[in-house]
Amino acid sequence: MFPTSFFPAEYFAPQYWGGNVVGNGPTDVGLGIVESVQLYAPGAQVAQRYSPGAEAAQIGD
Amino acid sequence: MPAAQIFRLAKCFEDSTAYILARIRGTSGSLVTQGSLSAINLRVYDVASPPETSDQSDPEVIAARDLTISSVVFDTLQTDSGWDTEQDASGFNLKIEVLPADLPRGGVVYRFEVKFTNSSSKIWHAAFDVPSEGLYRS
Repeated sequence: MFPTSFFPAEYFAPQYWGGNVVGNGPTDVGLGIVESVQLYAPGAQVAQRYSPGAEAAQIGD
Repeated sequence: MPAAQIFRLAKCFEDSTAYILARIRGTSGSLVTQGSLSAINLRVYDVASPPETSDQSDPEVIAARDLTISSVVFDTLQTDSGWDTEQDASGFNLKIEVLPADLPRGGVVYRFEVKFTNSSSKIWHAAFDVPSEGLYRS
C-alpha cells in the first residue's frame, strides 16, 4: 500500500474538548450533551512517554 | 444554545485498540446512567468513501453494533482507563472500545456515530472523527 504520511505518528496525549455539544440536527439539540471526551490509544501513550525522538519514523500503509 | 458538533479525536494507528472516553449528559442535564438509557448503537463510517448506492448518500459502513449499556455506561464517574485527569479531573461515564476492525486502513478519517435511545424512547447522537495512521505491517 502507499505510504500515508512521511511525518511522525502523532504520539499526542489524549485530546480533550470541553463545552456543551449535542448530536446531529436541530431536533436533537437539548437531548444530550457531550461534556468532555478523550481518546485513549494505549500504544500512543507508550510511544509518547518513552520515544520522544520518534520523528524519524515513517509510517505507511 | 448548544449546537451539533463532531469531535475530532487524536490519531490512532490502524488495526489497533483504542478507547473513546466521554462524559455524557442526557435530556435532564444529569449525567446519563445505565438506567436512563435503553439502547446504544455504534456505527463506524469512512467519511471519504463514496456512497454505497446512488440513492443513499451515506458513506461506507465499516462497522455497526449494539453496545451493552451495562458495559459501556458507568453510574459514577471514572478516571481510569487512560483518562487524562490533568485535562479533566471529573472523569467519564461512557467508555467505548474501538476495535482494530473499526480502523482497518491508515490515512483515513473514521466517523464514530453513537446513537443513544433514552428510557423515554428519545433519540440523540454523538459523533466523533478518528483519523488513522497507517502501519507497514497492515
